[in-house]
Amino acid sequence: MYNFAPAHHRVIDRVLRPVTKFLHLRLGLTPNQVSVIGFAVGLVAVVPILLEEIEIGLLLLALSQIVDGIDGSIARVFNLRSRLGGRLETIFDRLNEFFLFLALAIVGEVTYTIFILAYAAILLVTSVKNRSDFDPGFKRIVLYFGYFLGFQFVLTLAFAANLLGFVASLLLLDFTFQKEVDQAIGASTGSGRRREELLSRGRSA
Amino acid sequence: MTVLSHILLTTAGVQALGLEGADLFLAYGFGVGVDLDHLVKAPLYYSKHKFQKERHYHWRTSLQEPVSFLWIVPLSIFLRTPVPLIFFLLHMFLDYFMSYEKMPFFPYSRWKTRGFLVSVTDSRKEVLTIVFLVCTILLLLITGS
Repeated sequence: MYNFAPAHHRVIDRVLRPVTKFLHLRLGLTPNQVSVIGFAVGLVAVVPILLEEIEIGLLLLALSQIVDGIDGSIARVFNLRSRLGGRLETIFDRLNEFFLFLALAIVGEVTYTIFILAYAAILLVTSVKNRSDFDPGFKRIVLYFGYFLGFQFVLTLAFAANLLGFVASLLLLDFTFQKEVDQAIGASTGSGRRREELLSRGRSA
Repeated sequence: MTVLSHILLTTAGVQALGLEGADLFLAYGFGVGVDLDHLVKAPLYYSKHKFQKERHYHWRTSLQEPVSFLWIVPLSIFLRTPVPLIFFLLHMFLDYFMSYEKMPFFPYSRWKTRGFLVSVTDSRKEVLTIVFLVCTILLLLITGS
């Protein structure tokens, strides 16, 4: 979530410290290796869902999300953060969601339309997340609520939240860009032409 | 274009398609209401110009650009109506007649364009559009569409 991540990470890092120490210092696992393990567990969670054993699927999903939290924690605590690690995590998360949502569509818990729409909305938010630093959440996590509220409902919620998140991201990026342009060209000059000059020179990029 | 042109074009579209109820609301929302995105930049404008008029201020946001098809198409599919898509397209079509700068694919690309028919002055295009739309609406009213 926007601007809340650092505080939220500090708490997670403190809670997971014994586990991260064990995995990294004792077993020698790198954050990327832990990401792969989390992704694998997430993929395994798809099997029970396809067999209509939703509870087991959700338990495995929870396990994969815990592992997902550990990789980031190892990276932060041991200063092993890398661009590749961040990208891998995003790719694994999106792939995991794709297979989980697809499994729910195959067993008839959700329609194919809402599966595609919810997933498309999540991809849209992901496509601008690095620039806007805004993510409304409502991704895999909604599946736990789906057990009680119905998966069709929670995927509709995921679609709506992520679509709104995308619109909000666009506005946020526009606002930030305009602010940069306004600051760069100063208060007293005609903004239209100067903005064009600025864009042409690529200074505002 | 000015809000008047957008209202006239949306009204003509609503009449031609015979829209009512929720579709009517969506038509005006996506045909005219998207202009409310200008409010996002109002605090920036005010902090820079206060109440002075700045003719070339860039009020547009991505919500009026083709990049918005990315969220309007899924929304139209979800709502099972093409109305948002059609009226957004009409809104954009009018805006691309005007010569001000547009960034169709921001934030994915900073490529910019001034739209089409840039050799004709904006005021001339605006007047011709309004006259054409008023005639169209009257014609639709007379023929009972």
